[in-house]
Amino acid sequence: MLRTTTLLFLFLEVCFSLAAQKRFVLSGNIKDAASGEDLIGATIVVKNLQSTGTTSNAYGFYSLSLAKGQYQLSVQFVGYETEVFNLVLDENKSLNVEMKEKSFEIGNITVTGERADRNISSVDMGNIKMIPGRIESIPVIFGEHDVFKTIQLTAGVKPAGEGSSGFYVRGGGIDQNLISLDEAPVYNASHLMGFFSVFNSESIKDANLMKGSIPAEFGGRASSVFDIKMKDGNQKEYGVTGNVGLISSGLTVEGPVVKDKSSFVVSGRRTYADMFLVFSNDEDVNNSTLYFYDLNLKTNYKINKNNRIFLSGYFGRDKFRFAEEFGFDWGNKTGTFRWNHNFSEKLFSNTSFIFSNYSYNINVLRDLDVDIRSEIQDWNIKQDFSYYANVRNTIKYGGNMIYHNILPGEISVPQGSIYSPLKITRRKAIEWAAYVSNQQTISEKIKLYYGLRLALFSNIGPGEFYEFDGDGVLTNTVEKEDFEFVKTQGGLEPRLGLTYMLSAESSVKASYNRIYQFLHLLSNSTTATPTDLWLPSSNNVKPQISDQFSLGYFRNFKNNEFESSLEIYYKDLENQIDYKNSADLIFNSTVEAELVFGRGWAYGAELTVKRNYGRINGWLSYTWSKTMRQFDEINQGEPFPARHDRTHDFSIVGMYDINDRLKLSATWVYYTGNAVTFPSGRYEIDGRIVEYYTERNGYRMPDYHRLDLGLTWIRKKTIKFESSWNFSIYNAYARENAYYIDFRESETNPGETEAVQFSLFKIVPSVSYKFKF
Amino acid sequence: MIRMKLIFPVFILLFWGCEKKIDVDLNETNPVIVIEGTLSDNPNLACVKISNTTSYYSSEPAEMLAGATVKITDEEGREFELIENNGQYLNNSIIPDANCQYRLSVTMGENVYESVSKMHRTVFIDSMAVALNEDYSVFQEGYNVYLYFHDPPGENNYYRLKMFLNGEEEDAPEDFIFFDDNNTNGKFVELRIRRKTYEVGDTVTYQLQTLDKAAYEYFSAVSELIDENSAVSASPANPNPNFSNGALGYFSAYSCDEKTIVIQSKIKSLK
Repeated sequence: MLRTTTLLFLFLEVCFSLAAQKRFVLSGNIKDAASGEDLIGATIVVKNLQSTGTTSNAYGFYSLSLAKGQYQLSVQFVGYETEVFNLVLDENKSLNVEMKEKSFEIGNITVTGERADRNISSVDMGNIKMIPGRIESIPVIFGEHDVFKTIQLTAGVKPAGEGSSGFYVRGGGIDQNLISLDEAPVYNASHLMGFFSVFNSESIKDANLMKGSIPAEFGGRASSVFDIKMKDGNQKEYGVTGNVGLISSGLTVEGPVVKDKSSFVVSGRRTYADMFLVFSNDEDVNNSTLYFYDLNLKTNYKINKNNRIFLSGYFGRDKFRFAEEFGFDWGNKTGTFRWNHNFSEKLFSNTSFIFSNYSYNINVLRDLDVDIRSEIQDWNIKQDFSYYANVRNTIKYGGNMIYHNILPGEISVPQGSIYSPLKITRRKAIEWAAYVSNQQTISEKIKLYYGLRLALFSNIGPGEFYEFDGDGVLTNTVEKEDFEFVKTQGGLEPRLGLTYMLSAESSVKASYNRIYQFLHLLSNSTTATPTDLWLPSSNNVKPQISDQFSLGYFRNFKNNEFESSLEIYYKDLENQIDYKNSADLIFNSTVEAELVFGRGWAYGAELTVKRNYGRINGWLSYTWSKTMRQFDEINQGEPFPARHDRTHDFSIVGMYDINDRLKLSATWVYYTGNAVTFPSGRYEIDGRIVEYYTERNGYRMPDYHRLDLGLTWIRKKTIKFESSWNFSIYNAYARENAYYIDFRESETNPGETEAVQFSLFKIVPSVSYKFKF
Repeated sequence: MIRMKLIFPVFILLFWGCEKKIDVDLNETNPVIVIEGTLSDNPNLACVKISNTTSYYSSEPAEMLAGATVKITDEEGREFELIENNGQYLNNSIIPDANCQYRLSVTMGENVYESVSKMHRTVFIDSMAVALNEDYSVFQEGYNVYLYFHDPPGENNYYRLKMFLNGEEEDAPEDFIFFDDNNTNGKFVELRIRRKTYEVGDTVTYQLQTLDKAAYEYFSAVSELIDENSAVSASPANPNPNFSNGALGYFSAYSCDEKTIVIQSKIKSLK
């Protein structure tokens, strides 16, 4: 650790001495000419200086320090016309660029890189960026376009299950992905038992999954960061986009508040599957509801050249009610206020105030009138600085502080009820972090990234803290006062990256990350459920720690028309959580005693080949991997494969432009079945047949494969009005993939036992219509 | 304890799911001994059954093992031997004392398996009642039986409900019912199994057993395993055994009380 720190200071020393030469700064914002949306990750290349350039940040801002002179600059962003400027730099200059989308694109660019050769030349690795508008023609279940479903088609990312929006990244658990919307963590990113994500793709500007090298400004989740940014809204003119689908419809309105200074966007979506319930003959069924909605709001205002503010919010909720008997609703609320400030042409600052809340409520009506409630709420203040020291060094530093407030569960009952009310002590904690990093171009061939993050987590009062003996029996309860510190844990997280260019079209990259995770999701079922509970680290629960090493070879062909990469990784996970037999996870104040702790490791190789241009484009990805866990208390202490240990995972995504109106697309996925626990024998208890298990996850589900087809027909496309139809077929050859396999006593022959496979979706056709004016 | 059953997946699956019987190759393992031991105070009876695990797909009922030496010892060191009779080991001369701990030991060849269980004092049924409930959501119209009892305050109690219809024990997987007093400690408890509807003329007996914690935990784990709805559990495991030396099964000393009611028309309540 000491050595890393010294190394870092050494490099800072070097870059400051470089910065001492007399240079001028060129800075500005890069935007879409039509909508005024900031373009994130556009590349600015200095033509006459090899390997000199920069990319625009999350707010479209860039800064470049150059010696006095005459330069030719080219600004590139895939899908946009390249802009070229000639300029004389003899003082600090500001250059704002508005880029035009290519008027006629032959072939969609699917998963984009910002610069044609970015995948080989950048210092990051294992990152996947998606722009929702560009992946629209990929077929999806129920026609609901979802970046979560598309990301599952890339290497190293595995779906949690049939139709599920949850995913596993490189052997990590579902809770090890930081899903953030405009910097606010989203604690339960799925609707309707996980079949849909909470992200309405109409409201999303850009989604970036980081699974390999994770920059020092991100932390808190052990395996990946899925950074999702909402659209800012059109600064030039008003626009309405709508889509009508089989199970949901959505409408997005955007436009300028003050032209070129301020814009807004409002985007809503609601499902209406429950509207069919009114046709039911059963009075209880047609008195029932089952729907979800999402509402995204964002506005921004450019106060002046150096100050800009953003306000964004998300509200989404699932509502389920069965007659007058039972009600259940759950959802997220997030809010972000941001202030961009340029202290100088070289120093960019962003200050964010972030709020996030996830809660669920259950009402059991009729005779009981019981109310059940649980929530997790965060308040977060975050400060980030980017210092564009010179063309070779970009230094980032900052910190944040999150106040977590978790209500694990509360049951309230009316007076005189036979049930007792229950209130589980709130869990409060402060998560702190500070970081510094530098991205440095050493030479034409070598780029380095080095950063260090300090991550700490402190449990604070008020509340009860528990102490247990070795058998999980409560031995002591300690009551703490408001803001009294109980336990602080955490440590330093080095983040390192190296890119070595072998040639203009190939490179090797290496990276290392350490990440602490302090919040853990307790869930013992195979699907995401709204009642899954986030448990903070404490005196009884140590933080999870992941260490990941990755190495990759990147090669482009035919002038970046084809991209390919081969990445290998090894990930070590400490303090992983599993559960004791028949653990009681909900409404249990001493849930910490139900846990067991162990370790995990995962390794694998990921191969991706992609064609970005042409009438036929798309990608192919193959992952070979192994994911293991080991706990003293499970499987006699022997290592066992994690449930999501899938040896082979293959996806192919193809898109074919028949003409400029018709686009055909297909995806095929294949993966090894999940590791599962099946019985190896049986016995009887009190006359009932009970399964006898010998090993954890010693069996395999059948292999999974599926073909989806899609057709997009652009009916009308003028400057004023656009409309298109999208038809898709999910699981086109009706493969009966096993959702689960149940072992049970035969209904027809009592005393005999049998295995029964349950499959979810056979062929699911869908159609949706989209318009824009 | 309020149990949250996952209603929604079921709700959704109804729309699209499909089910079929499949062949899954399962490993064969060496048989493991399974011991079921009970000591009841009403009537006074100690009963032990010994068997082995079998292959999962075997269609034969488990074979009861003979030739074991089975003993129950009380806290004062008095030893009672259980005599084999038709595959069961029995003794009806033990008069259990409330709050006493009993030790069961089973010697099979070279191996000795032991377990202890504590006899709890009887929680008596206060009364029973019948009411006609109308058709309501997933429940059908019919007569429900209500059982009332006083939960003893200031202590944890663990219960099992056994139901008999016209003298026959109801032994379907879902009729394996266990509950504790986490939410009802010290209260006057009303218990009704809403899905159990009866016809006029039925004779219904409800038996309330009071178990010790270890047996309750064992049975709860078993009931989760045999529950038809538990297929969503990600990692099923064997219930923690109550026995030493790796035997599966349980030893449960329990006290019990039962009452019987005959369903008659026009009876609204006997409360």
